[in-house]
Amino acid sequence: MEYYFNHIINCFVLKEMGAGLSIVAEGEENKLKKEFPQAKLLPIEKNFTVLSLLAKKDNYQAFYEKNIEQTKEDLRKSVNEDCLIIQAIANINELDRVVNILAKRLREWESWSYPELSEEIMDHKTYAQLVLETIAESRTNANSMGADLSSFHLEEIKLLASEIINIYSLRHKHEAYLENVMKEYCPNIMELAGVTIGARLVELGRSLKHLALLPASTIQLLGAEKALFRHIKTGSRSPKFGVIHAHPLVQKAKREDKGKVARMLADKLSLCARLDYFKGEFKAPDYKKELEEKIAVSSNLIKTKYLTKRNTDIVLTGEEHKSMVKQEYKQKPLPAAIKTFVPKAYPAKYSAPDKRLIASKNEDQDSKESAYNRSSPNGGYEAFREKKKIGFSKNRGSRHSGKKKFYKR
Amino acid sequence: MITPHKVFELYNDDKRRLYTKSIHPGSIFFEEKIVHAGADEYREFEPRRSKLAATIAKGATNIGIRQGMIVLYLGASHGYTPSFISDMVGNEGLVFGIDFAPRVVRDLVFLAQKKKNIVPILADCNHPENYAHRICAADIVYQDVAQRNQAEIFLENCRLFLKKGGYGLLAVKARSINAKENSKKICEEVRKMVEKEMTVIDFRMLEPFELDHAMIVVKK
Repeated sequence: MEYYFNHIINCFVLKEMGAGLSIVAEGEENKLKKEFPQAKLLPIEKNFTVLSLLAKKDNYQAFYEKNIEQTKEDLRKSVNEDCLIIQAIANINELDRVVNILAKRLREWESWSYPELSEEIMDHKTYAQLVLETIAESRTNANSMGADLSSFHLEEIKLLASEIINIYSLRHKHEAYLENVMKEYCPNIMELAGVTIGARLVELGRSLKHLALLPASTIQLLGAEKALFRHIKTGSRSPKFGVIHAHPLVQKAKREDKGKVARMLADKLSLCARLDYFKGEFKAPDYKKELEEKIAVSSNLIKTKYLTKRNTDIVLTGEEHKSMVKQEYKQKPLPAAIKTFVPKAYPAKYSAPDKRLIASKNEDQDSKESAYNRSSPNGGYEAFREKKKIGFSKNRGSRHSGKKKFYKR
Repeated sequence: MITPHKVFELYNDDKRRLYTKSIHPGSIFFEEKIVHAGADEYREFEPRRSKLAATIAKGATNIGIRQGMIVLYLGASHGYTPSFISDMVGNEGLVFGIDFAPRVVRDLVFLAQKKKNIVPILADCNHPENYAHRICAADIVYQDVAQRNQAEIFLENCRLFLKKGGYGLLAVKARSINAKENSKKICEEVRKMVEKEMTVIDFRMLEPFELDHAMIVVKK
């Protein structure tokens, strides 16, 4: 039986010799196929025998040369839009950090000459522009408490200000570039998440392919890894959003709704990532509309839910609520069952017992015990509670008696 | 004073630092310390940077690597440990370095251009069929990958490529398997899994050099 085996260093034809295999010929695939027309592709189970036959010193050079060539080719092919988006957004993040440091220095430096300007203007970009514009004029302002510096000193400050403006314009160009790249590559994500958040999602998901394979719950928490693992390890509060926290929909939502909105947004984002990766339709605007409607409805729902919950909790709400609820109660008489309600969980002897039983037992019983069993309006369990001075809270168990939080280091 | 270590192909100095004999004298690859003794040049092998060095520093005596062996290195990364294994196997040996991240394979190619016995391959260890036609049977399989199913990957690769009587070295990253569980417990579970197919020679937790890591040395 003859087999052929296609290896990177060459194509081999093998023949079964007893139990093992031995190499009969090697050369180009097409040539060998003509020479050995009966040869079949080697079954995978027998791969190992060939691979051990190839483990010879003579082949090392071929292994090295062929593989390094192939690897270089693979590396060339591995570059795609993902890499470019990731580099651009990473540089935007870095520029943000750098510009903050430089702007702080500019404020300190320039403030020797004109401190009022720094105090007045909070935005770094407009501040740098104003510095550049005003610094040329001689600053002999009587109202200012800054020193009257000569142009020799001011020139240096001017250089720094122009550099900061350059960084801002570079950042702006990066954003425009990202928009152009993403419009082609992942239009749905860009439409729904915006340029920066979309690019950050691609960066944190490592690639669009990986992002498309992630579940929505992971996309919701991309960028919140530290909080997530802290939550898993120590049982602290779980994070509700990662980078999508900066999204306008999440920003607009009320504090208690933010987690819910983030969940809904992440759901749609995961759909968008899949649409983009598999080159689907442009559906993001529909999703956006749907999401906005859903959020509007659900936030109303949440409102009504909270209101009804609070109405029953009479003590906690303000005077208005009190009167409102009282009116409601007046209109609706309480059901009969509640008036004569005796909790089942209490032991039988504390509950209101049958009168006849007491009548027969009353004489023999201790006065102490009979006090518990009296069927007067204030008797029974109430009397027992007063006597023992037990509050309700104790019988109900403390607030922390239930599930204990799991702390572990 | 450079003296041979009790582990083959490794050397000690008087402060018990680890060294390998460089097969390319005169070149530094990872800003490591270089010591000259006679005509030979020795490169320092730091336990803080390599799990293999950490295993030896923790007292492992048998790792199976000898001159002239073929090593399959899964998860080669930038090539710090592969560069020392390449010193250990010498010019007669070969190291196949496999990684699936293009960024680090780029560095590995630059290393391989200097060290001619390292063969860089860009492939995913999860799919051995993608690189089965690019390598040959190996005497040693060394694995250091941050995957949840690292034990299965190791076993699969040992089945396909490890010669009988060859050694397997598995660096277990407990935090890649489970972020919450006790790391020793996870490593013991991996050990049990590996033990079903091969004999475990050595099992070491790598503290204090690496947290939540273990090295398992097996023989097929």
